[in-house]
Amino acid sequence: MRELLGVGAIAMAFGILASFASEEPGWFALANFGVGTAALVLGALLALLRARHAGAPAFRAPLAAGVARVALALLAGVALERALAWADVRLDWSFERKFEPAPATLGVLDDLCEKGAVEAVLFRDDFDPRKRSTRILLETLAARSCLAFQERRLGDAPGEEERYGVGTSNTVIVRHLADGRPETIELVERPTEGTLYETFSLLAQREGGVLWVARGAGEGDLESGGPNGYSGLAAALATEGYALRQFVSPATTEIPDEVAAVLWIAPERAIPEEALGALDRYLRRGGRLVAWLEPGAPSGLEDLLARWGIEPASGVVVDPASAAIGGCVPGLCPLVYAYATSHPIARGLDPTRMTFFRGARTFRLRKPEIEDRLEQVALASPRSWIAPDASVLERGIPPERPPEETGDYHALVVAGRYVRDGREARIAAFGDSQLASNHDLRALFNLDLVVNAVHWATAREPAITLRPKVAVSGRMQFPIPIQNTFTRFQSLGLLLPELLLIAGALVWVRTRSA
Amino acid sequence: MTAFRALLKKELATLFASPLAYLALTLVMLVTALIFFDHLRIYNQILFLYASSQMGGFESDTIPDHINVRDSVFFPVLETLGITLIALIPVITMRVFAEERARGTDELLLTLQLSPGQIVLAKFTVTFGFVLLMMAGSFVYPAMATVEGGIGAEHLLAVFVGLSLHALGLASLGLACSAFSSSQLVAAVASWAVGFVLWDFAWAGAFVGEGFGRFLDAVSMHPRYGSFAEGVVRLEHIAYFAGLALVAAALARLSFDWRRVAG
Repeated sequence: MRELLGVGAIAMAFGILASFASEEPGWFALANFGVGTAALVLGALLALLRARHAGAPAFRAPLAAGVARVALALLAGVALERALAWADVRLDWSFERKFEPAPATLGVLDDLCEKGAVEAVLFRDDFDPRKRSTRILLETLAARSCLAFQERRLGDAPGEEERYGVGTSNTVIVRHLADGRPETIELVERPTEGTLYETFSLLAQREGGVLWVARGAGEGDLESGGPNGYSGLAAALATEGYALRQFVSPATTEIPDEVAAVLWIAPERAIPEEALGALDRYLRRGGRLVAWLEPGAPSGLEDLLARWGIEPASGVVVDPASAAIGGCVPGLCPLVYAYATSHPIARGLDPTRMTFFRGARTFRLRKPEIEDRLEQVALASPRSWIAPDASVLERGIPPERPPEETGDYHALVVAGRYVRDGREARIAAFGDSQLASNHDLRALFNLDLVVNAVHWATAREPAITLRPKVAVSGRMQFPIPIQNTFTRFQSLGLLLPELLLIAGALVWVRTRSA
Repeated sequence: MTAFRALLKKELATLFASPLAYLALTLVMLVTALIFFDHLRIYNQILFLYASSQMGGFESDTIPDHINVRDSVFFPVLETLGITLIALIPVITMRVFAEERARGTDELLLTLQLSPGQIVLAKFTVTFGFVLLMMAGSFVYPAMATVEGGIGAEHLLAVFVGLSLHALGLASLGLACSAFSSSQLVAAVASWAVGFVLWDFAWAGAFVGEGFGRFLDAVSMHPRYGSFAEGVVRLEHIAYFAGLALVAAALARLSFDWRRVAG
């Protein structure tokens, strides 16, 4: 009997091993499963025959009680597990609470749910470890919204895979069945909360209004996909429901009232007076402007902003509190030290959620009218000072701080609200444009600060929130200093086991000599 | 109660009088430290490779997603240690009941005013305590290294909670196997077999339908403790391992009756 059970167990183990290795049932695995099952069944029968006298009345009662205890334990275990699975009690101890959906994600899902049913299908391979994370994420979203979540093993539904273009494991198809509209489908190949959020946003087709983006005076290019381009910003704004229209500033004499906001990204040359006049009139009629200015590049926009109480200072902010991050010269790429957390643009941001500027100028605020409200939204550290010559950015050497400079907070982002003839104009100004470029937009929390500013300018405050990260968050990719780790490895990782092994050896010697 | 306490003391003394306990502790701590340090070293090297090349730094999306502490360090530690435990835990549990049975001292225990339930409880308590001590010991170095790296040990704690539950689940299976055998070798081999089969039914996915596949997934240990690697502690997974321990204890208790019947 024992021999049979042994042979059965070994054959089954090799069958499983072969299946694991080849990820499919080959002849070797099948043969082993056949032999193993036969041996185990035969062994079990022999064991039962051996214990046939268990049916005797004297043995029946204690055995029955024992079996009942096992059944009860099994039942209790399953019931408890099922009850807790139903209650879905979970603690999220992951880095930056990866499985706590951002309000932005839940908000866009609510929008989708209001319009119709939402379904997510995860196509995965049995052996793909990434499915675990995606499954938890989709289960969490399903528990918090109308999202219906299903899983399909890759290869089980070839027709469906062909139709949706599913090629790899860990791919999610999101379907939206809106009332009275044809089904819309999006494919997500690297599902994170961020990519799912962007997919939901596309399906939701939220309307944020038309944004006019200036061109013609060397501004940032929304169509350029290079590191210094702004295609990422364009895509992010489209995701948020904005329609972007580019306008050539030298040919513009009027900006229509229907424009939700004008975006002016780092003009390098002088903007024609007519265009600036059109912008000024647009603002006086309750228009909205988001401007990104680069140090040392006068364009005429500075004078217009100054008339609205936002005076861009010349020179560059040098912040000794900011280290050499992202290839920057130390001090020249300030990290935001403090936010005006009461202001909607900074909603959800705090000193641990940093934003990063690559060479910035600052602003001085002076109210044009007593009722106007001007605020500093993001500030460099109190150690920051202004280097008057903007060419320090090109020299790549940290400038020396003059002895008379004591340092002070310097505004990197400011915002103003102005009521003119009963209509409210809004202006948000950034002291740098690089933070919105493809290179830096998704660094740290830059995207949130930038998109929040556009939402605020267009009076879409409810849409202001932190966005889930598309890629793995930054802290997960920070290095752990190997030198310190090596010291710990020697003292704790090696010394403790060594001492234990010595103790074991002593015990062994004593046992043998006893 | 005095007899129960005496049995606890005796079990502890037996455990630590054997070099096997020290060897098991050493092995788990050493293997954890080596795997963790090795993966950390490779992870840091890759990070610095990216940071020092044209990529520009840590702040932007220049480092591929899959190079992060979770995927490059925590997952491999969890997977390797999980398999190591399948091999190691039966070595600890094999003697607990089988040795008494082989020497005939189990009959002696029953004459000391101890019920079979109390004997099972004492042996499970001591074994579980030892397994937890082993897991806690192996957690010390990775926790110190992670905290020192400024990441915080919360996620790592979730990984070790999962691993500890996995170890306790394996210990439960091992104790149940030991209870039904008088040979330590048979008990160990049976524990390895059961532990290996219950570890992950992903291999069976190709043979069965989607529905049954989900059931098999639900009874497997690997998907259960694997979810802890994501940093998510779900109470139903804790209940799964508690249920496993409960059933194993009931089976161990049944072995006393079974022995009376089958001899």
